[in-house]
Amino acid sequence: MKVLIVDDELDVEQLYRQRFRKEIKSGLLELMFAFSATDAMSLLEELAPMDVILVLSDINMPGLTGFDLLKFTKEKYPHLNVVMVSAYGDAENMNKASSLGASGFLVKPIDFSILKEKIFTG
Amino acid sequence: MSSNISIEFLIKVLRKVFLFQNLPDHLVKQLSESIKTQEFDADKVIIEKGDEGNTMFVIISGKVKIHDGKEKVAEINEGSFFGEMALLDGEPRSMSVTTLEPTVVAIIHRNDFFNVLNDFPAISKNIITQLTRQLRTQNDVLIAQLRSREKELNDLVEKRTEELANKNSELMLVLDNLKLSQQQLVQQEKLASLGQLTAGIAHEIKNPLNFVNNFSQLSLELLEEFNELEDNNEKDEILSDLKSNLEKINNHGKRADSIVKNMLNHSRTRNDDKQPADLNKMCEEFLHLAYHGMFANNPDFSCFLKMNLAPDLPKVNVFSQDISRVILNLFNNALYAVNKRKKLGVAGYEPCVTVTTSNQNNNIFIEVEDNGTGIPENVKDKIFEPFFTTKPSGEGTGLGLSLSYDIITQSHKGKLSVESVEGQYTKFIIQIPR
Repeated sequence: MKVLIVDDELDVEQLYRQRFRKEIKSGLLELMFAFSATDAMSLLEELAPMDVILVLSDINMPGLTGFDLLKFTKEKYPHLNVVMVSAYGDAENMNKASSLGASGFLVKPIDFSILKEKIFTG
Repeated sequence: MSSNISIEFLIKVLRKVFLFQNLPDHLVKQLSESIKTQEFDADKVIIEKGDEGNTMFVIISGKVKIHDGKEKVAEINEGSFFGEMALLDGEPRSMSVTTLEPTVVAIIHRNDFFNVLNDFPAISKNIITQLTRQLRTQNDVLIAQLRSREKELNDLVEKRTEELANKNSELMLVLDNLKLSQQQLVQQEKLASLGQLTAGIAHEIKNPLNFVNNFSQLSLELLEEFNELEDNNEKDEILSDLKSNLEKINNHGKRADSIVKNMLNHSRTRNDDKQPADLNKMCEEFLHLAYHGMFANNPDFSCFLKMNLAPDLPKVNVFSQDISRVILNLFNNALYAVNKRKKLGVAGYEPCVTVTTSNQNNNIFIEVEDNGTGIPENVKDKIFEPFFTTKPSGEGTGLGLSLSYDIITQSHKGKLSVESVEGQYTKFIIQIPR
């Protein structure tokens, strides 16, 4: 199971790798990282046809935003689930995410038990 | 016009005239016979200053004034005489004489006068006495006039001085009020720019805090796991993770600390000296702050940020909080401009803000360039003027660039310049001497 995590903060990689340490070790989960929306787009295009099941993307990044990535993903790979992550849990952002087809919205700091549930139970 | 005045009457009149006192009877009579008389209405000129004069006049009845233009020197009446000076020295008349009421004068011709003088030189003494009297009188008049002028002038000076003193204290009051208003405006501008940042600051602090929380919690779990483990390889792995997590916690803690420090500095009134500052770090931090502040207020906003920071940029002595205000102001303006252009909705537009630092010939350059709406040619000259703003009312104080300009040019002896093409780009260039 592959999950693509998109965030402009480099340290999220170490955080996620440790959080999902056991799942990664057991081969249950494979994490991939992109540090901008543009990088994520080219990574998705490279991987097609994909076995990625979930994209977890920050909204507020320099350059293209998480919303741009959400639009792109939903146009090209409608079956792919995208969960948005943001420090701002305001209604405007949430509504925009759901209207663009996001399958979830997580507010930072992330509650990893909820995230695990989302990944493993769909 | 001659009048019908008898010789006897004239003799009587001349006898009264001081000049002719002591004159023997036959000479008075001789003079009387040569005299012509003339009548004047009121307000008629008898003598005009500057005229040739070979006669003198004795007032038989009426009143005249002796004057120099509008300046009255004396009023004389019956029994007095005038015009004797021109008659004696042959120079033009030194004063004008005008009647104040209907007046009759006796006119004595120079030849007749000198005939009398030849025959009876003793009247010379009368002449001298008379002239001395006249001089004395005129002197007194002039001195009195001078004194009165002097007093008027003194009074006037006193009055003006008092008025000036009053005006001065009024102006001092106005100046004090102005200074107070200015301080308030500067403070308002600081708070306004800080207000724009609040959301950015929240984001920028929340991010490192999230990492601190996450990594510390993770580390606790790793420790518990460690205690249960027996495999040394796995234990080593966890120990190395723990070490790395502690470093991350430390880094992100410092990051949050630095942001709070900057924020406090930004709103504080300057009271310290110049300190060496890392302008690259300052640019990086404030560009992120400004960006997140903009994003929080405009969720549709997005923009590419490019940083061309000179790796060998030396530290520069500056008033850090002042320079950070300038940089922040330029970033806010740049982001505002690209957002405004983006809202025009032209396809293919990619908003971008670039900050470039460099060190050339002992000058530090910071360039802030945006591909936003640009500055119209007709306002380019005005953008550094206080209270000039193109933002809708309530959105800008109009002081940002004017304060920035003062900070760079006055407190740092540098230059702040702008290049812009409307609809294409704007580039602000800060130059600070090292």
